Amino acid sequence: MKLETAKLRQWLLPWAYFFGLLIAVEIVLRLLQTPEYLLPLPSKVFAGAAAKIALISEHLGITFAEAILGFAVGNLCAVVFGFLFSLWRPIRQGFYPIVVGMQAVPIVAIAPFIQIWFGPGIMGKAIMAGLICYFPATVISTNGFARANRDGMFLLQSIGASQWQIFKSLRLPSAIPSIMSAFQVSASLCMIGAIVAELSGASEGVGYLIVRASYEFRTVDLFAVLVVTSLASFAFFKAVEFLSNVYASKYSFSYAAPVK
Amino acid sequence: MKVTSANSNVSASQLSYAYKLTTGESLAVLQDISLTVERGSFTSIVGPSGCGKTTLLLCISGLLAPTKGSVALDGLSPTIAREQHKIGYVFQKPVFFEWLSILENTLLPAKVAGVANGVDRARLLLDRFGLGGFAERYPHELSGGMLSRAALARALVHDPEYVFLDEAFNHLDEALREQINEMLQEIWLDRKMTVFAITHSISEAVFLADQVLVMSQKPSFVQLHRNIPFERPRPRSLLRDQRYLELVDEIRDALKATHTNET
Repeated sequence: MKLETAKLRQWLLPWAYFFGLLIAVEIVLRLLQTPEYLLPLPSKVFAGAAAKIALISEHLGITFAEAILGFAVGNLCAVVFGFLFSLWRPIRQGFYPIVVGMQAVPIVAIAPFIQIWFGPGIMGKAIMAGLICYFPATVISTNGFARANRDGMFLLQSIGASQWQIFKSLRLPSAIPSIMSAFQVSASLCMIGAIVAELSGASEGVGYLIVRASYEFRTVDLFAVLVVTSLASFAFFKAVEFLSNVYASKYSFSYAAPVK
Repeated sequence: MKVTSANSNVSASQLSYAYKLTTGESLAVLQDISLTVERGSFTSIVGPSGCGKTTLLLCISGLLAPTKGSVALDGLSPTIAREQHKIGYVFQKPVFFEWLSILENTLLPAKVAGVANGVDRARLLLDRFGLGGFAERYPHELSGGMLSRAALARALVHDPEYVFLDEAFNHLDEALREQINEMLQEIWLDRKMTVFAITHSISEAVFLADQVLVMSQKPSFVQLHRNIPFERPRPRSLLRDQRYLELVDEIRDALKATHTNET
């Protein structure tokens, strides 16, 4: 009983703070009489979002599809590469530093090229979303595969386990917590990738809505799109986090004391 | 009674091993070790700590490739013996996969080797070592002593021909240790595996073994190779036998001599 109220509080408190902050912003903006085209009142933004929820959802659905596609392909490639890096040292020594270095490249800057190469369709956006996930996810999952400890390796070698058996019973389970973190990082990145790609040329998706609203100085609409998209992105991140925690808890045992 | 030929023993010839240090130098651990033990015999290894006993076991089992020299397990190279699932190993530091239950951990070698009745064998061994009620538990729920017994069960589950025990009973209290030693002797008399056991307890070494090897300081060689003649099965009363105590003393003296060489 006591635990449940604690959990409830842990869940409610951030939301209470969040809405408190919005109310504070509302009050300040009203006092300063800030013009709407600069910064609209939170109450107007929410009203605008509610009024246009059908339109926004329609475009959000498209963006979300691009992001999910990129998430899936980007992470699949990341896990496969992470595994290959753990298997062959020459490949790791050659490629891994490149992958690490690529993280410093502002991938979003190549959005215009992707637009040129793949056209205005969904494919280019998915590729952008995939690319932006791929590099950090590869680095994280490579570290995961490298976590397989030497003692476990000795044990499996002593009983004559094949490479496949070693992969199945040690390398993969050791990597699962890291792969799950890669998924979590990717969950928010993939939305960014898809939207950035849409900003540089699209006829649908939330990126398209944002571009149009900003050209026409419809600040309320701009913020409405931002709010709905953020909430959806947050929900997706939370879902991935929940699923990966459920799945990974078995593999990431620690002696950590329960948190008070 | 036993057939002794070149192919029915475990032999190491001129085995040397040197670790590569990060400074680029190499540290000689084993120096020209040659030994031969009969197939199906029990060998205890004692020696000053840090002298390379573990390295010797890793080399004989083929988990480390010796810098020089060779090992043959009944004519086979250790690598082939491992690939044929003929080796059971209890490591000094208990190794368990945290995501598998004790039963699944114990079962692993049987699964890898494709033993048909693996689950039954694993359960039987766990029962025998007093862990029957803990089969479905996870490694972090067991004490160090329980884990070392589970590790022994795992090393025996696939009915290996060669068993390597690296301080397998360190975490056990004295009474339990004697009990497990007796069980191990029972299983060994039944299956006649070739056993190599590192131990710190000289009395345990003598009680279990057909021969005791006393290793020297690093770079180590076999300082003393002593056959233990007592007939099997050895009762616990042997622990108070005069001849037994004399042998223990002899080995203790040999071990002490390695320490004085240190200075």
